[in-house]
Amino acid sequence: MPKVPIIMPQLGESIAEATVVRLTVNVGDQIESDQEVIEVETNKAVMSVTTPCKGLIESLTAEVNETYPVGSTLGYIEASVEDAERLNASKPPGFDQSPALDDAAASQPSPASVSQEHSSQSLEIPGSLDGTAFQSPRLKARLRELGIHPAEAGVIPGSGLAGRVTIQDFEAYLEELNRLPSKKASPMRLAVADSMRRSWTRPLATLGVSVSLEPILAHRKTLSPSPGPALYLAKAVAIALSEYPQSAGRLVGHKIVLPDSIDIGVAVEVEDGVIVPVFASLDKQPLAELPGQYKKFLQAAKEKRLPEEAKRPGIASVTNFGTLGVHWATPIPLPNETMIVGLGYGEKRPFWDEKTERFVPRLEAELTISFDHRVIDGGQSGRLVRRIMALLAAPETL
Amino acid sequence: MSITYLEAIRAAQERALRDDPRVYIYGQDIATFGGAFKATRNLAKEFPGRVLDAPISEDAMVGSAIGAAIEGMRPIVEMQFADFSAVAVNQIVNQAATLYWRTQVACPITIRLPSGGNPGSGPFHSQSLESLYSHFPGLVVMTPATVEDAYTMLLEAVEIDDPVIFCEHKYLYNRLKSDDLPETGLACDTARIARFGRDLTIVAYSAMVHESLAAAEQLRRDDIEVEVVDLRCVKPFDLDTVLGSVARTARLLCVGESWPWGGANSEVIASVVAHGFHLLDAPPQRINSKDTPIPFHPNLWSAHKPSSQLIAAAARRLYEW
Repeated sequence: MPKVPIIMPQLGESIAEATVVRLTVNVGDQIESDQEVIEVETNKAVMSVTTPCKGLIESLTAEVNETYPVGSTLGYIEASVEDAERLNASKPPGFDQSPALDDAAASQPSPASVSQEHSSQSLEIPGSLDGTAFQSPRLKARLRELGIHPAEAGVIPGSGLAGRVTIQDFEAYLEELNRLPSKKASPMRLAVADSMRRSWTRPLATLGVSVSLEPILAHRKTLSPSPGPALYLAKAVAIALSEYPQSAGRLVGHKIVLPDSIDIGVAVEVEDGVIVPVFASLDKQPLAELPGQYKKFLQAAKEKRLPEEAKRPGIASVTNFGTLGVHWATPIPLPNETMIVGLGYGEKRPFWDEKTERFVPRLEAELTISFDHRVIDGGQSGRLVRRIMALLAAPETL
Repeated sequence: MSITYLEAIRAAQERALRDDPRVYIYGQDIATFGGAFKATRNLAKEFPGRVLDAPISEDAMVGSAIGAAIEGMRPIVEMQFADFSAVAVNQIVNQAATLYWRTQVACPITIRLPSGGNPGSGPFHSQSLESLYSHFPGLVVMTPATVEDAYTMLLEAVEIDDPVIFCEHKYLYNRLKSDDLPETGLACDTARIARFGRDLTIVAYSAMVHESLAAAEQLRRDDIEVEVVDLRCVKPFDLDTVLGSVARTARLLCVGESWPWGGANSEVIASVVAHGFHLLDAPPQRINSKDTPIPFHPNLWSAHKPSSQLIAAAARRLYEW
């Protein structure tokens, strides 16, 4: 009776080999076509090897716990002549030679096992078998050429070994993108994107409390020009940080680097982005002088031409997202800052007055603090927030 | 008319003898007998006194050729087998290769090495020594893969003022045929794109070009389009053409019949990695003969050298990587 091999099948894309876990038949067993005879395990799942035709199990060369590359012979079936002819005719091409060479085929005997000599192990993805994280030099160079951050390539489905993104996958993805409407991103947009991405490498946490805006509103009326809530907040943050400077420390390697001056930024929305002019040594500047300076910065920011002193990095920023009608947000601090303090939309809310034992209307807003959790914890940020609240409740001390 | 690779080598020598009175051929049994492979058949009769039988001393053959070259001749030395040139390594690498650099006197000798494997030839009659000679500065090492190149490159080898190691492949001698011989060919340090493809570059030379082309045909059935670059000359080699091809395909497989350690393949890969790292989407791969002496048995020999099947399997893995 002719023999037909039982072959380790291609069990899925990027699978080059599998380990035999169980033989479910014995030599001499009668088997049907497509019968499951060997259980194998890949790094993805347990699967079965099935018979190509019916017949008798002639031999099983596969051994349990051994790993075999795709295409290996795991055993043989004694099959009918017709089945054997049909199946053995479709085996992989033999030891071909170029048509340019005359008698090559005749003089070159076919080595039986050359095609099984290597498995994908000889071409392993560096690091681990998880190819999705791997980017080839070509892909990296192409990303750099196009100004695309490596992380963006993570959204592309990979067809390479272990799911890695090949250069062909990437070019196909680009072509797909070209079908959609697009416009050039402004330099401002790119700067904000880059800044946010760099900042997002840290574990950021946000907490918030409700604060009364009544004392600020009352105090503003005593000053001309009168500072906006953002400036009160910035000044309060500056004083609080001058008392708790370790809260504004930056983690660099194994060091906490403390600021030598309390420079606070105030986020300003401009066309297609955000600009954060910095008030130098804000803890030492009188509140009354801030509106003039702020107005100058605002104008300069709109023209995207901040003076040099307002461009130096700050130690923290404030953002008044309340002006957008937003109650609560989790803003992201700049990459070089450990925290950003936000103020939400002010509205009248009922407040329980202990003295009169009644609800009274009070103008309130949410105060948020988003911080690098590597540097400070909930307790420290809570104390900082309570100090800021106390300062906002007594604006005459600012 | 049909002309073989071997006949092209004979024809090139005939033309060189006719065109340039400074040319003569020196080798064992090449005059009356016409050479072990008949590469000089009838040339002794046609050019009396210029096709000379040498004693069985490769050392003396090359040494005397160097002396003749110094005196203004352009000798062609035929080794019976490339393997035997090892006896003359001192003359080739210490004398011929360094002569110009020491004395400003050129050394225009051509040493023909019948190279590469044939079924049953074993360890002393099958070796490919292009990688060995490429190591030494001062030598040009040619590895023609076609009938046309065998002809024009041998003529160029005789014209070049540097010593040339001309590696002609025995397997191709009678198996490779062409209709006609060209008047001129590409300059020897220019690679040829033997087959265009978008998916993967195979760099090969000599007989391995044909194995690679056969592998490319196998892969075409699966819609994998392989580009095959025929280096033609392994030293110097045409890095620009190789980089241009890798720029298109992003994948490189080098195929050579010499041994893997420190060879022509290694040099191509090292250069591509150094100059074109950003072009590579997959680790460059190479296929050489196995790192053992060459076996006698035809089956073992077939498994020992790179075959089209092995190349196709490696190319497929690289493509799917």
